[in-house]
Amino acid sequence: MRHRLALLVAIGACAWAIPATAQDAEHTMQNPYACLGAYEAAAKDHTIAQMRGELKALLARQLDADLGRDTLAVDACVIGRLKARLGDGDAWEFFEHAIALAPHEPGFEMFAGDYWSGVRGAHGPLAARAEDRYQAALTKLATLRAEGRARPFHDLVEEWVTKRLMVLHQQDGVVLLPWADPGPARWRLALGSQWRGSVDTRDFFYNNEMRRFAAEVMFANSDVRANGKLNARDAWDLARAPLRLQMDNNLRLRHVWAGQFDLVHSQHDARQTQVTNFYDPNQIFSDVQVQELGGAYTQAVALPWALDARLTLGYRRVDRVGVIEFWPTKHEAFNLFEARPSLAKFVGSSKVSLDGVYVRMDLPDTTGVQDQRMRQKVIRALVLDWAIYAPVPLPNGDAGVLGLRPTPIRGWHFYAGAAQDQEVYGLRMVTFTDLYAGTRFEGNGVWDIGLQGTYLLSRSTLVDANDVQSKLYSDPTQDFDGVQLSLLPQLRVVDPDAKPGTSVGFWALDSLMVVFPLQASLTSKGNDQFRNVRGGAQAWMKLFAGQQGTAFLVTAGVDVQHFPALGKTMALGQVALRMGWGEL
Amino acid sequence: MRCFVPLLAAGVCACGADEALTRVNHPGPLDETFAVSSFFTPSGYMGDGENLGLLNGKVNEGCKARPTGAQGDCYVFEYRVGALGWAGVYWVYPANNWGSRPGRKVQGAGFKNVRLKAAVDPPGTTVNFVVGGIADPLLPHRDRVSATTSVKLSKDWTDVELDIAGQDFSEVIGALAWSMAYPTALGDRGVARVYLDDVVWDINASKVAAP
Repeated sequence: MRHRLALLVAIGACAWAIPATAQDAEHTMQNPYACLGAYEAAAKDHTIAQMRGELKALLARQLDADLGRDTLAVDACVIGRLKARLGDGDAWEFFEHAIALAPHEPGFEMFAGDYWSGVRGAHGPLAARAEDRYQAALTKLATLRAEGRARPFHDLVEEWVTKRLMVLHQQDGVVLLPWADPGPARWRLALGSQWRGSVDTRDFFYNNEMRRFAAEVMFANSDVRANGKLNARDAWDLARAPLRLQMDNNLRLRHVWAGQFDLVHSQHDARQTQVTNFYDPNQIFSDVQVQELGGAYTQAVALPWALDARLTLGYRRVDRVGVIEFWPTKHEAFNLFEARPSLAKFVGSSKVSLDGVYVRMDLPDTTGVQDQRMRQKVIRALVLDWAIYAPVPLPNGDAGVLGLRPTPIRGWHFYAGAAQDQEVYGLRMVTFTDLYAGTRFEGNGVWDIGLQGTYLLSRSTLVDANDVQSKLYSDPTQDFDGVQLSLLPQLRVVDPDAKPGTSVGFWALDSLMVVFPLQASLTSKGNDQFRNVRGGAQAWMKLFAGQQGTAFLVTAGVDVQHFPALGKTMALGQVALRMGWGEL
Repeated sequence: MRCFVPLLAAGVCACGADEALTRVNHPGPLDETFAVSSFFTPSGYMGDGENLGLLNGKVNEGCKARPTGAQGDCYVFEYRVGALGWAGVYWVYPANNWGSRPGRKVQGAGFKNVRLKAAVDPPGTTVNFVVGGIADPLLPHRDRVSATTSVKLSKDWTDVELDIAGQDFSEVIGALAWSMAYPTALGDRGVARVYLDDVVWDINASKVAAP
């Protein structure tokens, strides 16, 4: 730390010592893209140690007073990019230094914005800080043009910054205010909307369908319902793929420092999906409709030690109908609270992220005796992700000999997590637990691949009101254990990273991914009628539209799912249109 | 553990849904006068009531004007005739229990009677009332208390009482049931309605005047 401070002081003194003639408006204004080229030269195909060596040399050059400000600015930018690559928490100081050395140059503002949007941030970019930099770039660009000092490469800067703002805003939707003003506004108002439809065994929350169907059958067959009278046909009918429709609207106000405020509205319709009567579970499936209106506040901050934090606190008022057994038309109105804390930290060149979710639904007691009508639902989740960005040894035959050579990658994620969904139905509590681990490899080729294993549990516990102390008893007749294995190969047909700039047209295709999800779900305890295999194809297409470059994400997919124990094969499909997709 | 501020709770405790289970009403054996609706659930639909839509029960909704000092919930049951021609409902503990699970413990021999207010539409219909009586020989648990009565009801409240004094309440599955034959005078598309209120297990002696 002491060394770093000393270096910064030295750099500052060095900049101060540069003759004023180099600081005036007539200076040569070096192409800021030299930063990109020099960084590529220092990082490409280099190991971490080699990059450290390049960094050391560049830091030493900063003390060379004979170099002009423009050269030093480019060097500082390269240092910032290298430090970002190596996970050094002080990278931003060098982007700031580059800006200070070349205060008229919009390109360095752009690279600083790239740092906040592409490198830092927990569970998403530090959008407001990045936006601030990109807007500063556009402002400087306008000034240069007004003064007649813009250079040809500034057209490219404008195109890149515009693209980056479009990418940054893709999570928000269409920017409503400020309208078409690239000035240094500190706040943004945007409207997002998502429309989804599916005919699928799985809901929009990706709850495992094998476990859900098995839990329904086991409860229906329990001694408090049909008491073992269900037959194979009942199970066959319960493996169902109802039509689901969902609309999410989001009005977002984001301020550079005050944070992000969201006003949210959601509507969910699922046709003939909910078991109405577990005595006879396949007789009638009721429609479920959910309306939600609420708000959320998000603050994302960059902390010292390359640590980023993000916290979202949300509240929704929910009106729901169709969920209560025997009461398919009964409305429930309740409060939903949620908290989503995230932390991310660079450990060397790797980034470690920890994301948590806590959702509490204060469901109203239903009709009936107090002991039986008690309701509550709590969802908790925690996931730890370790992302490697250093070159990794991969098979390579470039030199004519096949061998393992350090190969640059876009990221290799290893993650593990747990999620728990607890719901109280009177004196009974049903707990779904997911324990999962996986990896996702994002190479430099056109294929990415993900692999995940999930251990699925369902447990039921009871309270006996005859006990003076409310002890919890387990109900082993409802126990369920299962495993889900998922393989997710993804083909980048149109790579968004290949086009750093954009030509905004009415519809400009930015990326096209084709995903081939494969999945097997197996039961190890409890009802095993719903073990299955599933495979399909999905297309993910991102488009930019209109003058502002509003991003649209169009997805469509088809799957086939086979339940061998039931002898049932189902064709499934999903479509979605998203304008501003928040946290996908 | 109770968490009064859910959002703060996310950071300082691991509040689960099991917190709701600590809200059990009067844990332990029942030992004083109680409203049946506080502890027993009207989940045992019988006869035509087993078919969804033929017997619809409403709780605290669509009731007749409640008697002064009524305890517990009030009910109205709307009955449309099915193949069996009769229907009824049991209030059981826990919900949907026909003897597979233990019933609710009621302590002491002090309980004297089960009393309620009842009315019916069309008037003049006879309704049967039962306390206890759940005893499926294939299931491990059964009622030891048993009392029955049949009353021809009117549109106005009628006091109904079942004497349970001196019986064994060590586990009570069915605290009350009613059943009726469908009034044929209504025809196939008619709706019979049964109104119940102030359904109480009482440790006091009868309040109903002897006929």
